[in-house]
Amino acid sequence: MTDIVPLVPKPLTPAVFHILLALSRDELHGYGIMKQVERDSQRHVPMGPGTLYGSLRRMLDAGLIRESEKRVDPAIDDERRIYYAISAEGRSALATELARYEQLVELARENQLLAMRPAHAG
Amino acid sequence: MPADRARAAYRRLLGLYPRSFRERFADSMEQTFDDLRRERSARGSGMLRLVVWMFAETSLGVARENLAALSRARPAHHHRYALIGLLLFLPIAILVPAIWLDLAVVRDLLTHEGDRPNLLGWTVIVGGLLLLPLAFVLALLPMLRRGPNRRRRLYALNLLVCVVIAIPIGTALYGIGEEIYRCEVRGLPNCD
Repeated sequence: MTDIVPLVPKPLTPAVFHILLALSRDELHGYGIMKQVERDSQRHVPMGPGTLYGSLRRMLDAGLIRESEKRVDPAIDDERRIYYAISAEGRSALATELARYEQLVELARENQLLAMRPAHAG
Repeated sequence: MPADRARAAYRRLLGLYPRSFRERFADSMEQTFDDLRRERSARGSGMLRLVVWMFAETSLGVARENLAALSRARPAHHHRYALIGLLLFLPIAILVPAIWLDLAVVRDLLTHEGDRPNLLGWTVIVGGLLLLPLAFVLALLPMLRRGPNRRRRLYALNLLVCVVIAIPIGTALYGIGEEIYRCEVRGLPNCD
C-alpha cells in the first residue's frame, strides 16, 4: 500500500515490465514467470529469485498483480504453488509502457535511427 | 555441495529476509530453488554455478528488502533506531574510557603485553570506529523521514544519541585532520 504511487507513473523497470508482459497472457507461478521472461527477453533480462520475488512484492503492494485462485492438481504438481494474475491496473500500466515504447520507436523511425545497427552487431 | 545441504543453506539465507516478506514468499522461493535445480539436473549441467548465482542474487534481494523494510518502518519505531545506534556505539563507548583509565583487564585483553594492540584489539578499534557512522545514521534516520503529513519530526532520544555519537566521530576526524595538517601540510619532522 505504501508504494502505489511511485510504480505506475514512472517508466517500469525491465523486471516489472517483463513480469507484466508474461502475466498478460496467462496466470503463472514464480518459476513459470521466470521461464516466460527468459523466453520473451531471449535471456537478456536475467531474473533470479531475489529480483523476481522482490518485484512481485512491490507489484502486489502497488495493485499491479494479484494472487490467483488457480491451484494445480496435486497429482501433477505441488498444490501449494501460488499463481499470480495481472490486474486491471497492471494491464493499464503495461499499455502505458508499450505506448511509450511505441512513441520512442516512432521517434527513432522519424530520425532514421532504426536503420542504424549497433557496432557489435557485425 | 550436496543438494540437501545447498537447500538447507538456501533456507537459512531466506531466513534473513524481513519477517513479512519471508512469511509471504519464502516457501515459493524454496520451490523455485528446487525447480531450477531440477531443470539443471535434467539438462545434465553442473550445479555449482547455479547454486553460487542463486545465493549471490538472493543475497542482493535480502539486502534490498531489508533496506526497503527499514525505510517503510513507522516513525513510532524511532526509539528502536536510537537503541540500535546506541548498541553499535557501545564498543567505542567502553573502549575509550577503559584506555583513558588504563584498566588492566582491557590492556591485557586487547594488547601485546600492554604495548601495541593485538588482533582482538585492532578488531575492536577498527570495527568500533567503522560502526560509528552507521550508528549515527541509524539514530538520525527517523528524523529525516517525512510523516503522513509530509513533515519531519524531532525526537529527543534520537537527537541525544546522535549528539553523543557525533562527539567521538568529531574527535577522530579532528585527530586525523590535525595529523595530516602537521605532517603533510606543514611537513614537521617526527610529527606522528
